Amino acid sequence: MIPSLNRGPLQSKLKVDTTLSPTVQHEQFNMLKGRMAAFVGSRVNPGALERDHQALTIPRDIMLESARVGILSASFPTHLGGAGLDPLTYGLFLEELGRVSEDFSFVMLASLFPAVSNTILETADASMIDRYIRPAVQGECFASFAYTEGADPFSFRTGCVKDRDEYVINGEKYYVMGGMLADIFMVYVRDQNNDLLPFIIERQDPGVDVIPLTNMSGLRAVGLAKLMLKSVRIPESRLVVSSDGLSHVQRFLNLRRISAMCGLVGRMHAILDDLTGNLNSTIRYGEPVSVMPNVQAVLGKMYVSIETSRSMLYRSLHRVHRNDFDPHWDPILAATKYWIVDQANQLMLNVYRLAGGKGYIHDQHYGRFQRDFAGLIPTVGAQDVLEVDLGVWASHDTEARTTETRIKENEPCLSGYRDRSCVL
Amino acid sequence: MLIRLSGPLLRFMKYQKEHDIDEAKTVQGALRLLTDRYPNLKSVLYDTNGNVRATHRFFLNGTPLASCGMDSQVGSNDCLDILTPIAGG
Repeated sequence: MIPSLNRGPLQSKLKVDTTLSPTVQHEQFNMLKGRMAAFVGSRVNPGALERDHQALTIPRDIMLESARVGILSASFPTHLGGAGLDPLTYGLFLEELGRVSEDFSFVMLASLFPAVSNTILETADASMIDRYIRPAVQGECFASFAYTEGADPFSFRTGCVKDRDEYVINGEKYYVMGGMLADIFMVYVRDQNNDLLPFIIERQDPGVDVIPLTNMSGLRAVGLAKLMLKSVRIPESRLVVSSDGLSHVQRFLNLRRISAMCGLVGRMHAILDDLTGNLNSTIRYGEPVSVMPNVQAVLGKMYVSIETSRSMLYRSLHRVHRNDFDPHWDPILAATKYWIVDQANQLMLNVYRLAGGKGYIHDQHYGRFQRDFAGLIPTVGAQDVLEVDLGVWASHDTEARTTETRIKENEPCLSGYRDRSCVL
Repeated sequence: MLIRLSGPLLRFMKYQKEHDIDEAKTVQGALRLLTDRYPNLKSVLYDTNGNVRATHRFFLNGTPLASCGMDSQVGSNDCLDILTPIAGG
């Protein structure tokens, strides 16, 4: 049994701010939040430590049940059976999920599967909606995405050859998060014209092999997998978009940077709550260590880390909510991911500074979350890559530093996606 | 005009960061001349329909250029920077 991470005096001060916008769907949010917290407390948290120790993928029935209590379906439109939460409300929901869930792998999967399905939904026809999206809402079809090959995208070797109305796909995709649970994969494949095309590949398609990867430092319950594709024949109808998959995947990653960060901010919050609880009960020289000025100074730094992360997150959520952002690569969204991941990893080092040997030896969840958070450094845009891109952007975009009019609201030619509603 | 690139595009241009394209009248024209000079760049810069891929970002004299700005007039003193912010999963 792992110690609870949801206690401590700061809990009442650090709260998800649902007053951010009149568009936040309070009633739905509170109802879902209550169901989610009860489910996570009874079904997800009890096995978290063991899953980490043994690198066990979160059981499928837990993911299925999480759909039934509304966690996986929260962002889907109501006409498909989802809660239809807007991006801002959904972001706050994920933040709360991160706060209550002691299995950060669960938090990642609970935001990943709907994110992939919602991306497919944007261009799906009726038959794809019936086959993939409606079951996804019910928790009966988990969708992951398979992109990375350990090479730059112009050097991907996974390729397809057209054969009448089918494509024949061969190759390998590494590091597929949720791959061990996924029923379908959004796979990016190079075609004969050197274009990247996204296909839906079903786990049951002949020639598909899913290999578990368990030798991970963190996020050990996400069901990381390698996807092997040997002469897999896919009908043309399973193309997600007909060209420029490179832009398609960057658009997916752009939003994914934010949906992945919501839960992280919530978890940072929970860790600080837990740490302060520990420090209040640790007595040195006759008083709790939490009243010592050096300890308070570090706690202050951690508080700043969390609140600045939250501020950036909410700014990004507002941008997405208003559909006022660059859909393929938004510098504010990229900076938000960069900042929060950096702060989360710094936060864990500070946890060790304050928790001392007790934190290192006994409270194993600190080390677990430190390893989990490190896993976000290379994910959805490696920190170093984001730094460089943001640096190039910053060296040119002087106008953007004084105003947010860079992405003009009425600039329809900016992207073909501008007229779509955005879903995290 | 001067075209400057960085990051993932460099390998398609023999790792040369700066390119003088003096004959171009528009941004689009400059890019066409650039891809004539470096044919491998063509499928990276354009999709199969001949449109500039949405993932590239352009700055004309330091100002961000939307994809509808490809017809912007340019002269020999202008500078176009191309940023390709692509990431892995």
